[in-house]
Amino acid sequence: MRSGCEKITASNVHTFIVQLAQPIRLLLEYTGTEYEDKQYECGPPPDYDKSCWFGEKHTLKLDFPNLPYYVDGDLKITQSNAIMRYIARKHGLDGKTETEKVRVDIMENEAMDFRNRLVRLCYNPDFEKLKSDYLQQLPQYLEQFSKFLGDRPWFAGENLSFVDFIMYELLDQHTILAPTCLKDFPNLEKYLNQFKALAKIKEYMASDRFMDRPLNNKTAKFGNA
Amino acid sequence: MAPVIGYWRPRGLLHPIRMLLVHTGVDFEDKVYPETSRDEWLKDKESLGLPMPNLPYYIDGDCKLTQSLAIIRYLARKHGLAGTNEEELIRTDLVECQVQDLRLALIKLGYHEYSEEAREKYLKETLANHLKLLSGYLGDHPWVAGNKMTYVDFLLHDTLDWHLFLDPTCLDGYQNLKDFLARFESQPNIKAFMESEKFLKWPIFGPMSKWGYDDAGSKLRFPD
Repeated sequence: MRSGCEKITASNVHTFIVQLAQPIRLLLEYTGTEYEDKQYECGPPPDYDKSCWFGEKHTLKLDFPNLPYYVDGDLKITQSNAIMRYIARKHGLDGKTETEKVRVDIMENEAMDFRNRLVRLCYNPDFEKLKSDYLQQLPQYLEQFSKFLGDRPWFAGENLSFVDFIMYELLDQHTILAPTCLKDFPNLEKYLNQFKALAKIKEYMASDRFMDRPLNNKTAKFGNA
Repeated sequence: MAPVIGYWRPRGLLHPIRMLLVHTGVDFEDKVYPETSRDEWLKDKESLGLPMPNLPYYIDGDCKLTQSLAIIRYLARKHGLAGTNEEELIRTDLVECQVQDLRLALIKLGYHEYSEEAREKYLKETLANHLKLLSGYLGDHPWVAGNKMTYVDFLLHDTLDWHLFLDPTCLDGYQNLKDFLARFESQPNIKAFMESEKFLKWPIFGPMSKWGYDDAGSKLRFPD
């Protein structure tokens, strides 16, 4: 079973977009799925050569060639949300009731909007100038997530779902960008700690398979190392 | 009381949802916010009980949803327009994401980058690549999921329809995509709706866009 997005290279592992792959890795680890992590490393500035990927892109028989990809025998999927949902369905992590499924769908999309805002900031050449505006607006988004979570253990409700793997990673990234950003949202802090305490996750994060950096690829202005 | 869908006047993100509701034949109410001012929406925004206020919204009694894809997936499950086996689910999840990428690409062009040069480049590169892959994936299936019509067909139809405004000839090399559009538009409730005066062809984007709102953008496809 191969998960795809990156090939493990020697020392410095620079991935194309760690962000999209990390929730997939976390989910694979949590579900105890054996996988191979193929990592593609882009070249140094100024060209950031991506030929290691582009050379292979059209030979993998992917219907919609892209990174990340997930290959399991004849099954070949791209699009991180489609991959997450596929793995989630196999393990009952896609929302157990209709109410949970609705919450999962809402959060999958809210998380995508949240991620896109962060990516736009991190890859913007004016990152330093835009950062303070971003951080000023951040609390309103965190407040919405905090209210939506309420006193539920997980975003879907009682049950863990794949969106928790996405939201953990996104909130964690924000604590790297702004270490005190969750101080007014104790339920979100509790949520992060609870996620990290899941046995398989804890084990993974303590292992040498776990890569918590870089967050973005070399062309980003933040999180590229 | 009939469910209410709320959005600005332009087609934007709502249209596939509206088409799906039309197709199912259920009664629903369209709450249209004028796109020229945020005042009316801002009055409603915090008072409708939406957990994360946004447009579009869908309200049916206690069910109060935002995020267009969450809404359409909910309606799909409710009205038998979701995939029913693993293969259909994989196909619909994948194409939902792919079509969303293409929608966002046109939104980016229309809102931020539009020029004749940018349009040409988009048609030759971005759109051509997407269409080739979508056409290949659809193959000779009648619908994206296979033999069953699902909510993703509404997303695909709307996205292809948007692009016909950008270039009315863009589907010329893809007979199966043209057949797909014709098949979709021949569904009885959809056909009746598209022929009625309730059907809004244009604008597809909001007034802040460089292309997608002003009438000039619709003239290539509908010269009158």
